[in-house]
Amino acid sequence: MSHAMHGPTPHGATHAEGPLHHQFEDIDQQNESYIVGMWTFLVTEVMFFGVLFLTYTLYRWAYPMDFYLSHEHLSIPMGAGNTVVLLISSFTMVMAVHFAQLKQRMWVLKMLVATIGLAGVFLVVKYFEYSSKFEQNLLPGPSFTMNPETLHGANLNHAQIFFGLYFAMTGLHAVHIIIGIGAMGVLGFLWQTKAKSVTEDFVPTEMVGLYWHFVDLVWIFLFPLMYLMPKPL
Amino acid sequence: MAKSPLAAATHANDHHVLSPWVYVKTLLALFALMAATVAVSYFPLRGLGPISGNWINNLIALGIATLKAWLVIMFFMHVKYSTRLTKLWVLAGFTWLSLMSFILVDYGTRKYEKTNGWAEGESSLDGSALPRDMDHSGERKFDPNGINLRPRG
Repeated sequence: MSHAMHGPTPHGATHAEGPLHHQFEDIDQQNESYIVGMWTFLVTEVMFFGVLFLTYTLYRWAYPMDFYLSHEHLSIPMGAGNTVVLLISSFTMVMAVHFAQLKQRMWVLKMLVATIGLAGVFLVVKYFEYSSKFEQNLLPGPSFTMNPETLHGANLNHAQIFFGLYFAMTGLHAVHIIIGIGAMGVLGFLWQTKAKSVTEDFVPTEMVGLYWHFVDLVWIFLFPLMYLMPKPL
Repeated sequence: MAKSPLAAATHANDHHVLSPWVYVKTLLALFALMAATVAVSYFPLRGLGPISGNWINNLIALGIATLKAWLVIMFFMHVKYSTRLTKLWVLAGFTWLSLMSFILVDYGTRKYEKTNGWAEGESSLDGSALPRDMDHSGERKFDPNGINLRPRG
């Protein structure tokens, strides 16, 4: 039952037997360990964002009208556009994993570039959204606008809570997008240089894919909660 | 149990390879749900008896978002084709989330609290241990919705 191999294998590599590492019984156990490990990290991310969603829920429950009036500053077309962009990027990412399974290197690279490109589009739209907020002095702090017309009649402090949560949650999400771009960049570099770690085993690509889908998941919840608020009675 | 080392090398990772159509169909379903959620948000729904229409709108929005999340998790993240341990991990994460949301029960039942705070002697305050606004004029400047009031007016 020993997996140890001594001397050159028929493939010319020493000690390499495809992607299976020696501490695992078989490839299925290895895959499961990698995937469960990645999901462990994603569960911590659920905790990370979950508490922010809870806080948002609490304050929206407490101040529904103020939150509704404040949210009118958000552009639904931009938010919806960003949602579509992220959904497509999730698709291109899973296609990258698919091609990794088929070991089609060029297609993996194309899909990764497409995903990174779409992530860039998301960030550009976000830039325009944020800059319009900054211009209207909607960043909580000493510069927060005192103009009741800008606030649409909402209570000053409650509007600050809304925008504080808006910037915190979408900002944290944007940070995750940037990290995701970095991760995909590294992955792309490994594929480009034909590193064995990714060409022999699709699971590292799958793990980056899991991270990217998680980022998409967060946005799937952020968009309706913040952008599509029904008018409170 | 283990394949021969040579076989392990050549059939390196024969994981379940799905047809790309699964992903295309999932993406189309996600688009459709997105359109639905935007469309419904423009129509404030009428309530049913004691349940306000607003509540129903929120429920529908969250329901559609949950459905989208389920599609992404099952198909894009391959959880449908994963081992039971993986599915348990995913379940654990979202179970934790639902358990944590019970914190809201605390805020919802604060009006029933009878605990006296340390400010019993102060006449302008109601002896509450809850966060008080600092304005002693009696005006609830920071809490016009009165969520911190006991008892609720």
